[in-house]
Amino acid sequence: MNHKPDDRALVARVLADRDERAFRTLYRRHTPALYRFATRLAGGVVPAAEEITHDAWIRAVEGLAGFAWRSTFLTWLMGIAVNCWRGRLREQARPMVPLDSVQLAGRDSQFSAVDARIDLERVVTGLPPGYREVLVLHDLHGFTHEDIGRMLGIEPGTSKSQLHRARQAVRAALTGGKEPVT
Amino acid sequence: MTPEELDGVQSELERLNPELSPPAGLESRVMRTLESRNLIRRRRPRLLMIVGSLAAGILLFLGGVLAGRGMASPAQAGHGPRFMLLLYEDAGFHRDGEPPESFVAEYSGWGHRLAESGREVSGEELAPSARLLAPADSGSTVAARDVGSTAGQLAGFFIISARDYADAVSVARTHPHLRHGGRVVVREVM
Repeated sequence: MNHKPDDRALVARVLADRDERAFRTLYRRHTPALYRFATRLAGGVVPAAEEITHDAWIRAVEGLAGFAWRSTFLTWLMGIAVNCWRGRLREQARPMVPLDSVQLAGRDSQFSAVDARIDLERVVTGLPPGYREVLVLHDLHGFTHEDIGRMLGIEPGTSKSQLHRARQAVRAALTGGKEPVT
Repeated sequence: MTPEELDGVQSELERLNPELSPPAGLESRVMRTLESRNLIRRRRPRLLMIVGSLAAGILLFLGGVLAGRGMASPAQAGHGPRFMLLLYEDAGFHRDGEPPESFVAEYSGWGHRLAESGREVSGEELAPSARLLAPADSGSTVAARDVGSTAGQLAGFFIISARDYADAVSVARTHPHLRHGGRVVVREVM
């Protein structure tokens, strides 16, 4: 028999006893997805992704008592990660790379899959923060617009329109189009 | 730009979703921060008794938990393969006159060093007695008998993270239990 406690039970144990084992189970269950997400937010910069993941977990545990289960635990955690990332952006006050400045290689028959992937990475990294968050959450992690709305504090309709524009921007960049990102 | 073209963006993005593993040591770092803020209570080292030889009737083993701080976590392979190191003692196990405390320090030190190298380490001590359950002759009942004092008894175990079998075996080779004539069986945790 392999009984795996659900997130609620684990969270309850962490809250009641600051239970290390329960926390580690939560951590190991959700960190792979959280870290992938953080990596995308951070544009593939591993140290930044690690910081986001670390900070998200710390804030999550700090705020665990206030988590009302209006979403899944992972959705909540991802939302915290977004806030951590935004905090880092504010601290660094680093302007995002404008999308139209992303230099794309030519797409001829010799264009390798690796090159294509690097291009795609750069395009996603060059997206404005709001677009990038929605695009990564929806298209790479499969969250619904309702989930994304809860995470980012926006309406599901806003998430939808952000996604549409983000995809437009990605497509335009990949095909060398000049479609503006608004 | 057509809706189909936009949908195609998603499939292209899926190429960006390879298996990215969290960095080694991140779990232990998170744990340290949580503990320093009193948000998580780390399990304290359980004082592992050590044991001596079968002749002395004392079980020697020092569980991985012996470590307490820093020992029970990092995750170089926190999401990867884990292996169980089963520590057996038989007549060949010898204490060389060393006091139990020295075994505690030795086994504990081994676990600490392993954890510090970024591996996940845990373990438990096992009591010297055990009950073996097996179908009785009739096949409809279960018989139990003591198996605590047979030669080659299982004294304890460690669970470690390792890249693969070969890696786990190379780690197991360094366990001080071998130096004392004990045997170590390595099995992957499924």
